[in-house]
Amino acid sequence: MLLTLNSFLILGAVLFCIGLFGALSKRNAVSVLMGIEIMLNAVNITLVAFASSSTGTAHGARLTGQIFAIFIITVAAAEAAVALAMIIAIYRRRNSVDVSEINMMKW
Amino acid sequence: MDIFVRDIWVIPLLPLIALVLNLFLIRPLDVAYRDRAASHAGAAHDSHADHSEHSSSEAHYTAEELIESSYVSAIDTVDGHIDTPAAMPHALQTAQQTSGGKQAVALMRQWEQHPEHPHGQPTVYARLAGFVGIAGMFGSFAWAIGALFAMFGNTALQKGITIPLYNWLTFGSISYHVNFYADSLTVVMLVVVTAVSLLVQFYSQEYIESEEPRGYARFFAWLSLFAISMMILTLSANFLMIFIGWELVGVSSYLLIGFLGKDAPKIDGGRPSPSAAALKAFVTNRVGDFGFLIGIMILFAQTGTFTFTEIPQKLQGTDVTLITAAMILVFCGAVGKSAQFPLHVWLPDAMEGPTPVSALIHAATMVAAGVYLVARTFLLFHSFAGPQAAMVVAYTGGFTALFAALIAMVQVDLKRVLAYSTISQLGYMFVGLGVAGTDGPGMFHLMTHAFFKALLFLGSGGVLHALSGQQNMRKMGGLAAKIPLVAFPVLLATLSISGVPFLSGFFSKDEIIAQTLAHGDIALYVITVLTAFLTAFYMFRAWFLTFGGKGGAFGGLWGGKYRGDVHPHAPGMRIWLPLMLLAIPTVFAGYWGFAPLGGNFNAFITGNPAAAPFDNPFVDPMTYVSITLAFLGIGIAWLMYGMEVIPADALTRNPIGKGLHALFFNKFYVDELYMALIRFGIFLFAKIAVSFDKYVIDGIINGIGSGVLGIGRGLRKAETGRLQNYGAAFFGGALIIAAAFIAVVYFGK
Amino acid sequence: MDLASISFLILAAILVGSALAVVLMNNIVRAALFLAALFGAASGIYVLLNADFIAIVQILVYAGAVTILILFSIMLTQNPNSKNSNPGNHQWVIAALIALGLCAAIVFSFAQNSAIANGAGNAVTAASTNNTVVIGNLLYSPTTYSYVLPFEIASLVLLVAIVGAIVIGRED
Repeated sequence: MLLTLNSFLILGAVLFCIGLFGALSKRNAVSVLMGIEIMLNAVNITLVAFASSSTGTAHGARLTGQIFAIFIITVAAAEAAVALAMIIAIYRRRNSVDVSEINMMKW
Repeated sequence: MDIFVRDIWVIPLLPLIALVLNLFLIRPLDVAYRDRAASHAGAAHDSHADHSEHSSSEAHYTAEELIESSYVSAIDTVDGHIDTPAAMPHALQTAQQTSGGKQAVALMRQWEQHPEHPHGQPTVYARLAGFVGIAGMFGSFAWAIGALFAMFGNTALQKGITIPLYNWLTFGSISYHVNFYADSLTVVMLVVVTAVSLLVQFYSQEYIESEEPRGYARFFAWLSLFAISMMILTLSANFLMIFIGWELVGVSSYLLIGFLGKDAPKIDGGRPSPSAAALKAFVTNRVGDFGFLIGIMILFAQTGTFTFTEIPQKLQGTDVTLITAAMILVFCGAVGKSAQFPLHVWLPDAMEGPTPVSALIHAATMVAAGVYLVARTFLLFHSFAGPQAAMVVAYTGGFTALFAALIAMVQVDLKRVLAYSTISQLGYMFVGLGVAGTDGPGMFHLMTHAFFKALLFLGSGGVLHALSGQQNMRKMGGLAAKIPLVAFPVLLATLSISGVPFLSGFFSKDEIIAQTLAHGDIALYVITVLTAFLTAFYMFRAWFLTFGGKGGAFGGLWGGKYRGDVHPHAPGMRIWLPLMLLAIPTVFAGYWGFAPLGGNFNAFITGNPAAAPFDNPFVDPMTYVSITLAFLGIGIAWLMYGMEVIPADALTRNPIGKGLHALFFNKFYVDELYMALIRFGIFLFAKIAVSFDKYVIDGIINGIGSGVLGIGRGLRKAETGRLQNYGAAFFGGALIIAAAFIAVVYFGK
Repeated sequence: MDLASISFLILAAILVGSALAVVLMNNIVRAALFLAALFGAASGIYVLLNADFIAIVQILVYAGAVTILILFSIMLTQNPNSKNSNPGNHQWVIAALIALGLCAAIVFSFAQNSAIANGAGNAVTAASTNNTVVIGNLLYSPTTYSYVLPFEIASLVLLVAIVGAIVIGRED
C-alpha cells in the first residue's frame, strides 16, 4: 500500500525542499516567487493529507485541513498579485529583477 | 463662633485667591502696562530734553528696556555694534545723538536726582497687587482672631478638632488624608502668622516701592505664597501635610531671600549676593529635612499612620530607643528650619533678602516653625521618647542661645545683630520645650518674640530705608532724633527683648528661665541667665549705635552724633504705622501669661483648664537675679556706647579679649569650618570618586563599548541586505535545530 | 498495486519532476510552464485525497490565475539580451545543501514515527461523503460553528492586496 499518510507527507516534504532551493538560489525575482509557490503547494498537500487521515468526530473536524488549504490558496493568490506588482515596479525603476542586486535590507 | 474654627480652611484660602490674582492677572497687567507707561514717560523726556532736531525714523525703544539693561547694553540696543569697552566713550556720544540714547541718558539723570526712587515708580497695577495681597491677608487675620475668640472658654475646641478636607490616596488599608487640625496651639500660631504677615505686607508697600518697584507685584505674590505655606504647615493634621507645608515655606523663603537677584546693589562689601544666600538657606535646610524625613518614616513604619492624634495611641509598647531616635531625627528638621546650631549658618545670610521678608520669615514666623513642630509633637518627645530626646532639644537650644548671643555682641551689621538675636531667642524656645512639662512656655515665648522681633526688624528696615540701604551700624548713630516715629517702637521692643519687667519679653523669657530651675538643670539655668545678660547688652549696644550715642538726650539714649554720610529721610506712614501697631502686643502680650491678672496661657495652649498658670515672676526671688543681670547688661551698654564713659575697645585691648573678639566677630569660624570640611573632605572624596569613575567605571563602560563595537564590525559583514542570504540563514538555523532534535530524540538513547 | 497507488506514483513523479524542472531550467518561460504542470498534478493529488473542492480551486486559482500572472510578469520584465533568463546565484550550493538536509531530516522523522507511518494514515483514501457541501457549511454558515469571520477577513486581505497591487504597479 502506497497510499498511507506517510507517502503524502514525504511527497510534501520533498516538494517543499525543492521549492526552498528555488527560492534561495535564484536570481530572478519571478523565479524566487515560483519557488515560494511550490513551497505553498507542498504545505497544502500536507494539510489536505492530514485532513483526509483525520479520525476526528466533531463537526467539521475532518475538514479543518482543507479549510486551511483554502485560506492558504487565498492568501497565496493575494501574495502573488502583490509580489508581482512589486517586481514590475522594481523593474520599472531599476530595469532589472535580479534580487542579488537589491541589497537595501540593512541598517 | 464655632464656624471660625470649623471652617478654618478659609484662612489659607483667602491669600491663595490673592496669590492667584496677583500672579496670573495683575502681574501680567503690570508688566504689560509698565512698558507702555514707561515709553510714554520716556517720549516725554525725549521731547523735553531735545536740543537738536532729529528724525524720529529710528526704532523707538521703550524706556523700560533701557532701564532693565545696563549702560552698555542700553547703548548697545540703540547703536547695535559695540564690541569693545574702548569703543564706549565714543559710543556714548553717538548714542546721545539718537532718540533712544537720549531717553537712556535722561533716565540715568533722573535716577541720580531722585535716589529714593532710583528705579522709578510702581504702576497702578502693581499697587493694586499690594492692595489685593493685603486684603486677602486682612481677611485671614480677621478669621484667625475669630477662631481665637471662639476657642476662649471652649475646652473642647482647645483640645483640637480635625477638619477633613479630602482623601488624597488609598493604598490597601493605608490612607493619606489631607486634613486640617485646629487646636489652641494652631490658633495661637495662626494669629501670630496672620498678624505679622498683615503688618509686613502693609509695610512692604512703601519699602518695596523704593527697593524694587518692578518686582512689586511679584513680591506681594510671594508674600501670599509664604502665608499660605505657613498656614498649611500650621493647620496640618499629619506629618505628611506638615512636611508639605515645611517644604513650601522653604521654597517661598528661597524666592523671597533671592528676591533682589544676584545683581542687587551693595553698600558695603563682604556680603553674599541674595541669590547665593537663598541657595545657602535652601540647601542648609535640606540637611535638616533629611533627618526630619527619616524620623517621619520611622514613626510611620512603627504606627502605619501620619496623623498626630493617632500616632500616640499606636506607639504604645514600641521600643523607647527607636522612638527616641525618631524624635531626635524629627528635631533635626526643626534645627534646620529654626536655625539652631549647627545648621544656623543660613539665617544670617538670609538677611540679604528685603527687610520685610527678614521680619516676616526669618524672625517671626518661618523660623518658629521648628519650635511649632516640637510643640505639636510635644507628647511624643516627653511621654514616648526617652528623656534623651527632650535633653537634646533643651541643650541644643541652650547652646545655640549662648553661642548666637556671643556672636551678636560684636557684629556691626544691624540686620545681622538681629539675625543672631533671633537664633538666640529660638534657642530659648527650645530650652522651654525641652525642660517644661507643657509646651506653654516655649510657645509663649514664640508668640511674644514674634511680635517684638518683627517690630525690631521692621524698625531696622525703617532705618535702612532712611539711610538708602546702609546696614553698617558704624555709619549710623543719633537716628532717634531724626526718625522718632521709628525709634520709639523700636525702643519698646529693645526693652522687651532685653527682659525689662512689665514688657512681654520679660514674662516669656523669665518663665523659661524659671522652668530650667524647676527642672533642676543648673547648667541650663546658668546658660539662659547668662544669655539674658548678653541679650540686654547687645540689643542696647545696637540701640545706642543706631539711634543713640554721645551727646543725645538722657545720656545718649535718644539722639546723638550721626556718623553716616547719607542724609536720612523720614519714612512715611506706611512704614511707621505697622511699627506702632506691633508695639501694642510687644508691650501687652505678656500679660496673657501673668497669673495675678488672670492670664493663663498654659491652660489655653494645653486645652486643660486645670493646668497651673505660669508662676508669678515677682514672687520668685530668682527672678530678681535675671532682672539685675538684664539691667547690668543695659547699663554696661549705656556706659560704653551711650555715654561713652568706658571706651568701646576696653575689653579688646588685651590679647585674650582681642582673640575672643575675633572669634565672635568671625562667628566662631563655623562657615569657614564648613567650607574647609567641604574643601578637604568632600573634595577629597570627590577626587577619589573621580578617579574611580575615570579608571574603573569608565574602563568597564569603554571596554563594553569597544568590545561591542568590535563584535559589531565583524557581524556587520553578515548583514548583506540581500533577502536570500537571510532566508538561507533562517532555514540553515531550522536545519540545525532539526538536526539537534533528531540527534537527541532518536540517537540520544 | 491498485489503481489509486499507480495514480499516486505517476502524480508524484510528475510533481517532483516538474518541481525540479521549475528550479533548474535555464529558460524562465519553460520553468513557468512546468509550474503550471505542477499545479495540475497537485490538483490530481487532491482528488486522490477526496478533496474535490480543493482540487477545483487549485486548478482555478493556481493553474489558471497565478500561472497567467507569472507569465505576464515574466513578459513584462524580460531582458532580451540575456541568454540565461533564470540564473542561479552565488549561494546555490549552500541552498542545495540546506534543502537536502531539511528534506532528509523531515523524511527521516516521518520514517521513524510509526504512528504516522502505520496507524491513522491507512484511512486516507476511505470513501467519504460529498465534502464540498460540508466545506460550504463550514465557511458560510452563520449558525453552526464556522469560519465565517476568517473568511471575511480573508476577503478583506484580498481586497487590500488588489488595491495594493494596483497602487504599487501603476505608472507614476
